[in-house]
Amino acid sequence: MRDKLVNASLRGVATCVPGKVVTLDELYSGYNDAESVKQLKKAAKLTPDLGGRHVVNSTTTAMDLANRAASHLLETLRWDPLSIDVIITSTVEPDALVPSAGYNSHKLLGLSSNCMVIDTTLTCGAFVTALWFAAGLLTTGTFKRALILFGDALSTELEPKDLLSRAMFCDAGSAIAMEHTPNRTPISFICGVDVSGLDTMTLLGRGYRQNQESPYLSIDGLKLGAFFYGKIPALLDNLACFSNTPIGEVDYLFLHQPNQFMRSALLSKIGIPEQKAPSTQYGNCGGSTIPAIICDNWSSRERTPLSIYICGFGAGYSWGALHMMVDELITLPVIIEKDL
Amino acid sequence: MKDTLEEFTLFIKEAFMSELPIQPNDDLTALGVYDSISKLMLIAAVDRRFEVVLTPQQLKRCKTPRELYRLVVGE
Repeated sequence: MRDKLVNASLRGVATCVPGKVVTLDELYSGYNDAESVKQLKKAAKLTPDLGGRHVVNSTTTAMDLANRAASHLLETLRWDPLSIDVIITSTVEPDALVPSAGYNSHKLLGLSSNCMVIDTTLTCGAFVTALWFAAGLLTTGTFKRALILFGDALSTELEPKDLLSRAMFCDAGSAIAMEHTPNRTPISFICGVDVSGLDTMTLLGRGYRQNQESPYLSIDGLKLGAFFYGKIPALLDNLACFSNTPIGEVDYLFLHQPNQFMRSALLSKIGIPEQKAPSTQYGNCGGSTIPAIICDNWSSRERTPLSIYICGFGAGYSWGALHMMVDELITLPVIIEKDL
Repeated sequence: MKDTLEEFTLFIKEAFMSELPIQPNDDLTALGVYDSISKLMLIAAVDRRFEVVLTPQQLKRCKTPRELYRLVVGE
């Protein structure tokens, strides 16, 4: 899918992580068997500078983090909650199925009865797809302001013995503000899906199909990694042609980071210097990974406008990349919420 | 000039970041160095050096450095 949408701009990004930190030593404490040691070695290969991972406590949910990020963002932007026309949420861990995550956020944030709710479960590839939804609604001017929330507490989805994945993922929530802005340079989107990878990332046991499937997140890292190692460079080549903006001319590439190894391998293949494609110390935060990268690296001192690429990918297989010009973007440094 | 089998075997050892010696006919799985992450690292390393992108299916069929050598470099 290729689309160019006008009259929409990115206005703000905020990311929250919980206060509780599990260090690598704590993570592996009590696991001295050969398989655990092997997983530790794998984790060290994938994320050489691995530190602690932020995880939710027993009473915090993924959407608590996202809602908190949204509150901080609205306050910082000085946006009246009643001015929001649509809220889009993406999480695989809603507090409840009914009412859905979006309706809960709507109530907590004090949004208007004219504000529409769209709930999705898009995971790691969510960022660009959700921005495409929002930009599509903003482009005509019927909707003036959109709020997009991502919430992932993947630590709650992982098997306790899956030490490798536990070392990769960080719980986080984020909020993105977009606004109808006439006469803007179009945002160029390319998104896609290939369901041949449907079995590479699954959470089958949490659905309603009655079966004996595991209640834990299952990831085939080799198939996922090999697929996107081939896919992403080609996707960005296509985006360069579609947006008429070669990657060498952009100021930044904000690229989803499944882990540091994949990030470095992709950057090497794409041929973009690491300083133009920053990372986040918080690891893989699911749909909040790209927001965390932006919050970790964007500075209000940035000259504007800036030309940026954003590229997300994940379960499905699913992927999305965009090019946009950014100015007047307000970001907050990643917020560590001690009480969550 | 193309790599010799011995050079290619050393390249694999470096790609895997293996601390153990690896010989051309070693069963990589039996050595414990042929896990999913090492295979991913090998895909990236082979692409960088030989401009060939291997698939997981191809790697599954190759058990030894010699078999990988035939696949990537040829006889």
